[in-house]
Amino acid sequence: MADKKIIVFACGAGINTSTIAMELIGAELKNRGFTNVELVRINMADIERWLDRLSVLVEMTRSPRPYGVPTVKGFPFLTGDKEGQKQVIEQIVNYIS
Amino acid sequence: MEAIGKFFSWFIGLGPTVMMPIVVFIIGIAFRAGWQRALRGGITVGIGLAGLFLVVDVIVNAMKPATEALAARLGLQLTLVDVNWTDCAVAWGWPGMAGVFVGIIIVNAIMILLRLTKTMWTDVWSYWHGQTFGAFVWALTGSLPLGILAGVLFLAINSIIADPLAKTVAEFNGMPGISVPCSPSSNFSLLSIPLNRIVDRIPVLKDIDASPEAIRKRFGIFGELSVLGAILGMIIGLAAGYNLAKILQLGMQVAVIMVLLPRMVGIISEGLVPVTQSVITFMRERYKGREVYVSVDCAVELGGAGVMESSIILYPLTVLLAAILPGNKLLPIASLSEIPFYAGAVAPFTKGNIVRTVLIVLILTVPVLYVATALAPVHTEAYRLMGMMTNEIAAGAQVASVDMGGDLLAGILIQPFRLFAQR
Repeated sequence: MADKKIIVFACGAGINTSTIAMELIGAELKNRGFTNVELVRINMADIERWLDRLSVLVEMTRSPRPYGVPTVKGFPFLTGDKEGQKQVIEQIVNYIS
Repeated sequence: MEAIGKFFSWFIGLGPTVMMPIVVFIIGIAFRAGWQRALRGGITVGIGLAGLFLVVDVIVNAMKPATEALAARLGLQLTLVDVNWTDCAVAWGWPGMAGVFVGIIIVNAIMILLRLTKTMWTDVWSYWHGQTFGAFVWALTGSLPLGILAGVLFLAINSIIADPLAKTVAEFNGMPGISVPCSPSSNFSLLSIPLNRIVDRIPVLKDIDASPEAIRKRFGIFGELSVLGAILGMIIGLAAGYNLAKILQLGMQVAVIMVLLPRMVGIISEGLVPVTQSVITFMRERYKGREVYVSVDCAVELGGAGVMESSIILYPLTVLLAAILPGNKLLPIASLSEIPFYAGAVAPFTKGNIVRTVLIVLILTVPVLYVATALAPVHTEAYRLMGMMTNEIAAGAQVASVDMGGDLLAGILIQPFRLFAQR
């Protein structure tokens, strides 16, 4: 079995905005048949401990500095911008397939 | 009529963990989220509420004796139990929840049509601030309609405050077209404008800043709430005169609170996602072609320049401030997780200057602590009505929090409602 791909959703408090993106992106990835993915929502302050394990970082707030990992911005899932959401999903799919 | 009344009191008597799944399910159906998602969402909200009730027990068991011992030993008046975001259980569990929910969507629509605001209240999660205020007014007056009115009014005022701030906040956080209406962030943003102007006139102070890299390198670990909680817990235990075993135990208990409280709140938010999506889609279609802002959760402000670094400096300073502030009765520990939100609200207006952000947040925390102290009786009554901490409250415990318990707009807006207070 191939290693699980970890997608980390990081927002300010690990409460709301990361949850919204995680729910929606998770559902879409499932639809597209990606089952070997683990979705994690975290507080951006805790990002360091995930850096060496994650496949994609979905930022729901700006990260304090660039981390050199595959990163996408999840804002369209907060604003309901459908076009933007599609692009984000495509970017994530690119990183994990 | 009597039968309807009887049904409602039976329904409310079911308790929030049963009542709210049903209410959220109905709201989900009404906003066309689909019955499966509505059902799952409703049950998830109930689970989150139940989780919060569990965390309340930890908070009470760990923090109440500790703060009491600390206060007695140092001769302080810090008698209130800091419940922080446990208020979300009141917000999403009080009987006026559906009323405020539907009410603000209607009132916001009217306000946008009349051009009274440009901010669409798409950020369903943040209704909780208005919900909590509504529950406070319900606890104060005993009137559900007044509580619902107060909650809707609170959110409507929030959107008006957010309008002039939106462009600066959007630009600073790199999210064009957004607005952050939720209190207390909008209040802090608004008040930071005059305060920042005052700093501009103070020689020396106006020219200094701190280096974010140096702070992050040396103290970054204290920005992680688990570590911060453990260390603060141990310091409090030490100051309270605990023995070593109890000091270590308190450290872990505070770490537990810091990590589990937001997790539980997150479960409630998870349950609301289907409804949130429906509301966003509904509003975007309705107001196409108008110049409107999409409201988003204040959490998006936490990644702003200097926010995390300012918070790290603010954590210990806030505790010290609370300890020395005469007349204040709240020692914010669990509530420290609100600090980054304050810094995030202020930073766009100081252009990320850490020294200024820290200074302005500290200044604004003074009235926050007084509001939290003043609202404690109403806050506690709301908890009692919700059946939370029943035994402790009967024994004289009072609760408070920094976020909604100390919200400045709430502190002002509750005054007219005091005319309708019970007793």
